[in-house]
Amino acid sequence: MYNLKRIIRQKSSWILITIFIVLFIILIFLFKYLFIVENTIEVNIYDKHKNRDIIIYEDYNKVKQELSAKEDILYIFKDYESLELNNSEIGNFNITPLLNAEMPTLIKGTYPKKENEILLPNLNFINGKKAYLTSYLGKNITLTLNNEKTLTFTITGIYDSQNIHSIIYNLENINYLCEKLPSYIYTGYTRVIINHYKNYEKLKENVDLELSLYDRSGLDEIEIYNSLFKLVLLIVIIMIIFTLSILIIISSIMFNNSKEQRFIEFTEGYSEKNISINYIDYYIKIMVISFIISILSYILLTKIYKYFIVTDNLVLNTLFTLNINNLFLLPIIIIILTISVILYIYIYFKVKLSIKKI
Amino acid sequence: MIMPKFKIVLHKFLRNKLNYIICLLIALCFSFSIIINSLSYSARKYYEDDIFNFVSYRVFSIVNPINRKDLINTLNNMNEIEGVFDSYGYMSPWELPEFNNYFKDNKTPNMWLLGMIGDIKIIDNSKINLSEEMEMVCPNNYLPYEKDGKPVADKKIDLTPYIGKYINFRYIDENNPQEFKIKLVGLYDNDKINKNYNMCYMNYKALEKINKEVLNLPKTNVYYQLKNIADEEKVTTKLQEMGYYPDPIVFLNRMPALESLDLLVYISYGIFFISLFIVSCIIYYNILKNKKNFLINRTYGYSFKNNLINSIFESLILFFFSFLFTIIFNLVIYNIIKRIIPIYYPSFKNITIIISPVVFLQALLFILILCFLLNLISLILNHQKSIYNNINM
Repeated sequence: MYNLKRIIRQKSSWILITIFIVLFIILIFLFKYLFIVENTIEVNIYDKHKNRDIIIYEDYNKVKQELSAKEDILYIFKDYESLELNNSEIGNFNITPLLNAEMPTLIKGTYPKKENEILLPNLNFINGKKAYLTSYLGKNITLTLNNEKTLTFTITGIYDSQNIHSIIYNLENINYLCEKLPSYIYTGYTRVIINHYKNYEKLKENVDLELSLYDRSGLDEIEIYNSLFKLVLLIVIIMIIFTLSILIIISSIMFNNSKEQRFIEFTEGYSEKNISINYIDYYIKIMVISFIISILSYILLTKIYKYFIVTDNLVLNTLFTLNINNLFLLPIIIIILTISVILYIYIYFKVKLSIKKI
Repeated sequence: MIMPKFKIVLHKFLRNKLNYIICLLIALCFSFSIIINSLSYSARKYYEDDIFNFVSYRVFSIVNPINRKDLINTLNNMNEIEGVFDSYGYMSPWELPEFNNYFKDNKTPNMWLLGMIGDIKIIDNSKINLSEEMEMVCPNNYLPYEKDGKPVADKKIDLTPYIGKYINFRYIDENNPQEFKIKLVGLYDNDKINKNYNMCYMNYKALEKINKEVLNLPKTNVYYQLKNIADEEKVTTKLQEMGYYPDPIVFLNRMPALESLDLLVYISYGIFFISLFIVSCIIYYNILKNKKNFLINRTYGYSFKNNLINSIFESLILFFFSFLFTIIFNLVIYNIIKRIIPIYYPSFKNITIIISPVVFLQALLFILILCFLLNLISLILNHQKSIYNNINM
């Protein structure tokens, strides 16, 4: 068996280890990149409220009876026409009813639970002037609903108005607002929020009701991001093939160069089996050392990035964030095991053939 | 004197199998990194130019602006704005009586008419500027029917025979049906965009004229079209500071895509530099292997000058074969990728793979530098060493 000290003393071993470390780090980054892109698309595109909001062209009671037991359904409510809240002090706002889990991250305050609680954006423009609404936190405010009814609300939280610009209301209390208005606010249909866009097709197949996405404007986006992910996956697979082929070629070159050493070992009395095991052992140790150092190097790189490099690219920032829950190491381990098996079979047959030549 | 020496070095080089493998490995490393860099860059460009910059994503609306005239003046004075218009034409689809019962299903296919300004790219990659006359550009892949928000793929109408001809459009209104003749001047490649299967584009002024005749709606909103989608944030921020909140006509969140593709380009450059590192390691490993031969030459009386000339010749030969194999590999890998990828990913044929000559020349330059530099460094380092100690190590 190959002595660890002997491996460490040889310069050619260190060249091999260094190349393996670099290639393992590439594999780590490539797999992590794939996981991050998939997660970014899930969170920013599929997981959007509008892509999980379904309208069913049936009465509420019938839908509730049929669907309430299904585990993919988050909430069922009566469909309504548009709702708007106005106030001359803070301006005009649409209402965006969301479930608590879907609400944006708050700058201050807590999420609304009761019927008279709302979230406001931190910023609005009133008569061309910037108005910060943070000072309204915790206060009561009178708003006019659809220019018909005046209601008092408590502002329980303020969110960053970068992407959304409306009053956020707890969807579970939407009936409270609709019941304040005349009955024609209800369309007679039912709306359902599911837990993931991909369960929409499943719901269509399993349920004998006419349904569609309430807002289909997200479908184009989904199609574009589906095709983007496939393209990214293809390019990453090409990179992985490249990395693996380099790994295998270099290993076989290094192994070929041990021809003289193998012949000497055979003349010294080692059998074919022992020579093969010797070299398999050598490569196992090289791979293990390289893998451990590559993981440590990745951890070090994440620390260096965190302390010295700051960018706006969220995907890049996530790539250099150490997250124990990521499963990206699993495919790498599977690949390393597969390469090892290929290499070892190669070593075994190469030794057998070369010994026969003597 | 030089030629016989060169022939000896060449002969020695060609006899050693390891040299071929090293050249192949150098070529493989650089070819793959060139192709990966080209793919990543081409993908980024495809999404930025063809998908995100499509006219639908560059049109924004401001609902019921307080000071309409003021807003229109401001928009007209911005360099980033291609045009400002009062109506987008997004009323309802129009019927095409010409294709009535086309699929023997007693239905009349529909088409949306949308307004735009400026150039639109058509299928032969040239651009058409739609005039204020009744002319339009329609999709190459026209699928008139939709089911659950998705087009029905097996019901396609080929509009190619109608290029240069007038097509009748009928407004769907039982009480007041009206027909207009609009000339089809070209087809845009909607396969690239993955959508827009039933939308034709015409100059917004021409569209506003026919919309007024059909349904004279009061002017409430203001629409504007950007020259480039990259200016979206700048224009939106400026308008928000004035108290206006523009909304895109077709919402598309570009940021996750652009960030992911940017990173892919950076990773590909990273692979390029890692290829350099791997190639350096391989060449250095080869030098380690040849160290004994080099020291034996010294015992035969080779001077530093002789070894230097041999080293230069070896580097040149290594570079030449690496360069040759790089070109062959590039052509082979490029053709394989072009033929195989579209089988699994049909949209890939819309992407033009641009092999950047800069990256290619960079790769060749680095191969040349590496081949020479490493050999020379090794020569200089080994020249001073004790022969006895080094041979017996």
